[in-house]
Amino acid sequence: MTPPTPHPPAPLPPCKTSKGEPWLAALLVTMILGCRTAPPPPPVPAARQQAQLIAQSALALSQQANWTAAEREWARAADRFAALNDRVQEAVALHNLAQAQRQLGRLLSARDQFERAARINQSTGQTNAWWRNQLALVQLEPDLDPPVSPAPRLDALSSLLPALTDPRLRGLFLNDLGRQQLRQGEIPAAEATIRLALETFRAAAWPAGVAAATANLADTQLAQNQFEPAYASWTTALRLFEQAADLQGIALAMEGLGRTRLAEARNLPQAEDWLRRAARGYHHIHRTLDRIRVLESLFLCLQQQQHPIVFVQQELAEAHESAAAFWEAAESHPRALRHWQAAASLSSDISDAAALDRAQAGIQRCSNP
Amino acid sequence: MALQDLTPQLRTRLSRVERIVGVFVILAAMLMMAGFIYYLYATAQRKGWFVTKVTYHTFVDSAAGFLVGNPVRLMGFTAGEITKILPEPPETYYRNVYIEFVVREPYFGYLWTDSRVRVASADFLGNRFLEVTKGGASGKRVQATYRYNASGELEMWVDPDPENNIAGNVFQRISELKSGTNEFKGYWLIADESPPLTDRLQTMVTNFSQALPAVFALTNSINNTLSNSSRTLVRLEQILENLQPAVTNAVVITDHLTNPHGSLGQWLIPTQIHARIETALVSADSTVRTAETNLQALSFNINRSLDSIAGITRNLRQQVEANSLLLTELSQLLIDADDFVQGLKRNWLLKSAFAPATNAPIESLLEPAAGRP
Repeated sequence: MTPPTPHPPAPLPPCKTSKGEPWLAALLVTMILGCRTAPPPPPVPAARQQAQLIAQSALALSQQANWTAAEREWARAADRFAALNDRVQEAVALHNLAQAQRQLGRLLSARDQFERAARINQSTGQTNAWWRNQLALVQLEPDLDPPVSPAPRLDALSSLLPALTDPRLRGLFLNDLGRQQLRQGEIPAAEATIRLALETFRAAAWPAGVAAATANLADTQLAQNQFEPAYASWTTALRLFEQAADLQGIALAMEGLGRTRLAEARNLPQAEDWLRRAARGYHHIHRTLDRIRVLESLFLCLQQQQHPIVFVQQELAEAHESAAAFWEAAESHPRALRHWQAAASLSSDISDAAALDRAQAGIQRCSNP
Repeated sequence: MALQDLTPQLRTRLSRVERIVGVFVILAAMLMMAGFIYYLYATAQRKGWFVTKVTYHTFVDSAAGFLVGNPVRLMGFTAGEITKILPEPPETYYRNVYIEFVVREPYFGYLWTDSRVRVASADFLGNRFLEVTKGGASGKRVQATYRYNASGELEMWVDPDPENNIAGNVFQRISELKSGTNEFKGYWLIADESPPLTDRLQTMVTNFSQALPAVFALTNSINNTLSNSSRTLVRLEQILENLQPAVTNAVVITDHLTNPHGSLGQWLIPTQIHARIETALVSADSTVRTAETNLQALSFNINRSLDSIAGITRNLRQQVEANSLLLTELSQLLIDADDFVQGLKRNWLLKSAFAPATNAPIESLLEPAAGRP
């Protein structure tokens, strides 16, 4: 059997004539001459670049919740932008400086910075930035000592709302308005406002806003003793916060789930589990005041189950000590005094002499600052 | 037209032309023959056709970069060429490739038992060459080589020194070669094989790319350090400004002290203590002299150390200069690549393929509030 003879190679196709190619050449020439590569962007002046670098560094520190360093860097950024006469960026830096100060407990200084930023934004016509300043003040004022009601500011802002086009800012305003209504006991109105905020956030496709509004909605439902809807809303909020990896939000939703079960007086072991996890979450992210609130709920939960409470009392005493130190560092002595007194009372209950000594020393310091 | 048809004058002229043409053709043929002979001679010289060639073989891991006919070098001379490249059987326990090569006279006289074959990279394209090293580098005597005997015949010679432990093995090997039917392969030289330059460059580039994150991390650390240093300097400047009044006060105090009537010496040193101070100063003077001697010795030693350091740095500089071309080329390559990519990013056709700038303008931070009001 002979091997098959290989086929001769196929002849090459004839070369195309150049009759059809002039249009292609014309197109190429048009594209080459008609389109031009963009020139490189002009170099940014060194002083401006340095200011932007400081602002970037401050932003990274804020995102890492390193508030002490963030405050220092935002202050530097504000100074640099002021020296460059960049009023818009100066206002942004002042606003973010105020946010850092708020986290550090220096609420009065934070309020001053927010107001400075608002004045600059008003003079430069930065409407959206001005709204952010106002809404930050709305969030800050109830935390002042003594608390300031944000109602007048919200009323003033309500008249300007039709001109506000940014959906996120609209959602933020409605969210804060709903919280204020909830604070004032206008619960049905609060629920309606927060539902509106939720829809606005959904339309703006802002997951953080949707999660926060869902949590606030759960709070209004819980205030109306609608336990099952509240539990479902807290579960939804927990899922949303988990998707965003928002540690504070996750702890908040766990706390809400625990509080709902506790208020319902149903499945108290589950409530205890949620509250313990929330307390651990707050402890992990150093939210001492929130941790105290959760531990107080846990205290009630354990009492209702007639379980030992001494460990929660120890944790509460420790949390009050931390909170007192926090307010002392922020030079807010009346608040520090209240926490030292609570810590002393708890330390006395659990017979912790060392903690009691520390608390009494703190009381003395804050009584005569 | 036949020759006899021509006139006698024409015939005479034609026969003279024929002679000239014949002489020219003969001369041309002789020149061509001489050229050919010279070419043959030159080729024979180059290829070593008329000189004695002896055979060696070696084993390497890879035949990459080798071809039959490639030169074999010795001390920078072309001493021979590769004659055979064969793979070893699959079950071989040593190296994978057998290479046989010849070495021309007189170069084989340099190759002794302790000669080695060095496999080196010839260029950046992956070519390699064999270089045999001169024997005796190990400090041992000649143990075995090729040489001419008394009757002028080439033989495989072994040092008959009884202390030479290797002699017995070599004798046995020669007898095996002579009695066996295998093809004669000559002496076996052990090869020191280094990977091709391209492989080493690849490894170097891999290491370089692995080291790049560390370099970037280092630059970040340096940046942080510089930022911290600048902050420290600012604080230092503030401290210095605060120190300014204290320095001014100190100047005023020292002005008072220089006044003979109010000087510190008159307050503190009574007359009777002065003599003791003189004695102490004499002792201090001798101590200072001793210290000066010691310092001279110390400075002499430091000078020697500095000389050594200068030698080290000179060597380092030579190393850096030797490799400067490669580093410069790599640096230029990186710069050109960056330039090219930056150009692509701005190109009207391609700029959409690149992500937009990530440094968006910074906005005021405001998170939606949640939790118990």
